[in-house]
Amino acid sequence: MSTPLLAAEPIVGVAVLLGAGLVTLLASRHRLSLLIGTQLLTLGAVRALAAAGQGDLGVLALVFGLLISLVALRLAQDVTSAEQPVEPPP
Amino acid sequence: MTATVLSLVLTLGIVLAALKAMSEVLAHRSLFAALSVGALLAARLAVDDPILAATLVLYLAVIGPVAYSHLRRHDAEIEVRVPLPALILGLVVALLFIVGMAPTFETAELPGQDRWPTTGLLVLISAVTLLIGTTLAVRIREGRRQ
Repeated sequence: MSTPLLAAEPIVGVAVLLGAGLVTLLASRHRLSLLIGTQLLTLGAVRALAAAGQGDLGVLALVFGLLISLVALRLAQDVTSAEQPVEPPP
Repeated sequence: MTATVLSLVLTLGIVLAALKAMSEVLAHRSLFAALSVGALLAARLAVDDPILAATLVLYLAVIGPVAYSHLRRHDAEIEVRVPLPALILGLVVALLFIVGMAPTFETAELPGQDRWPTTGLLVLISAVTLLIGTTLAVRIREGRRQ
């Protein structure tokens, strides 16, 4: 009984992480949504690479996830700033 | 047997924490749930790959305070809840996508394989260097604006 469960365990973990990350990333342009989405996608990629025995690629995925997360924070901040109406000078 | 039960329990925790992270309304709760996903994943990876698990903990230690301070500095109190049909559709699509590449997953490690000590160290040093450089660039840019 435990063998099918153990075989499906990495698949379920990766699927939920990627699915949740994708939906969160596309849900809105809010910086929190972008941040959480990239985090979940990064963790899903790391889990998939670890399950495939590619630990070094998993480290690289973490590095790219870190960079993309920082970019997502800055990009979302710029988007939010651009959407705010500019007050006319007195 | 104990490792099997532990793996299944940790995976169940990862799933629940991931769903909680995407459905939370408050920003800090969503961030903490995402960090708990990473912590549970690190615990799961430690069963098979301790070096990758340690790297993931280092990643969480870096991205957690940075994201929290950023969200606290700027407004991020209310977030729109993800609709349930989008959640189900995304999970189904991801599951179908993953099942197609399922035979490539193998949890077993090759015995006696060298664990790339220098490569991993170089990647970590590069990541920390890039993080420090990015932070300095952002601070310099904000300083010029002010």
